[in-house]
Amino acid sequence: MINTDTIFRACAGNTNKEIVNLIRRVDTWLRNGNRPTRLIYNVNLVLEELLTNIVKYSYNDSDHHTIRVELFSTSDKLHMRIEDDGMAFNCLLTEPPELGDSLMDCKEGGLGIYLVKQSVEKISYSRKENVNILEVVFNQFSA
Amino acid sequence: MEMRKLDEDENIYTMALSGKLDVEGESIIGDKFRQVTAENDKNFIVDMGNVTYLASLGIRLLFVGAKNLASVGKKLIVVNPQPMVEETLLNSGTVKLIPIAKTKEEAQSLL
Repeated sequence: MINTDTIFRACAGNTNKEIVNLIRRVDTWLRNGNRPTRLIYNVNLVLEELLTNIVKYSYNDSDHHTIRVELFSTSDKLHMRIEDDGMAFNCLLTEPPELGDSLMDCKEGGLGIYLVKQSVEKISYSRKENVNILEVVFNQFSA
Repeated sequence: MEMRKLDEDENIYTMALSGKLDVEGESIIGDKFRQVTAENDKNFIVDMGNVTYLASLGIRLLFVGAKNLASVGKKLIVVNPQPMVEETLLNSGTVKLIPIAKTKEEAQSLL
């Protein structure tokens, strides 16, 4: 039975090492809550793709920045919210990859966001008070 | 994340990957994978039966390897991926360019 009583909140710095640690913590939280394997896989995938995008594209300085992640459940949905204080950047507008029919001509750029969109029920971007906000909804019980 | 060579003959280099091919896993094996696919002019069979997770960085790594091999007229075939990993490969459209086989024998028939 899924434990829906808790909220997960955590922060990570804008480095790959810190986001890997954060993803591990989310994974543990989901497993402890007996979430379905497919949901855990999809949350890991979406979180990694979105966080690596933020680390790679949101900052144009070498300062330390904080990325905030929150997850919580409502009935059959799992909600995820990611906030960063980087430049305004709506990753959802990224063009999908152009894989075509030839390896030598294929362009894999945009692959991560393409996978994200296929793994969630809903995702939206907004910017408020100089903060990028990504809100994601997963169906906890999708086959 | 681990990468190890299983077999090599005149035409085929067989390797196995295991673990999570995420941002951390790619940082562990990425350089080695790119190097071995760049330095060989053989077909590659990559057993992914023990890869438990695949992110876009991992898919890009497979593309780099497949492109290295295509430049010398060779192929990269993925073998035996776990169901969720196979789903990621299918959803990404990767299989149009990097075939998936259930077994090593099936992979050999695709070369």
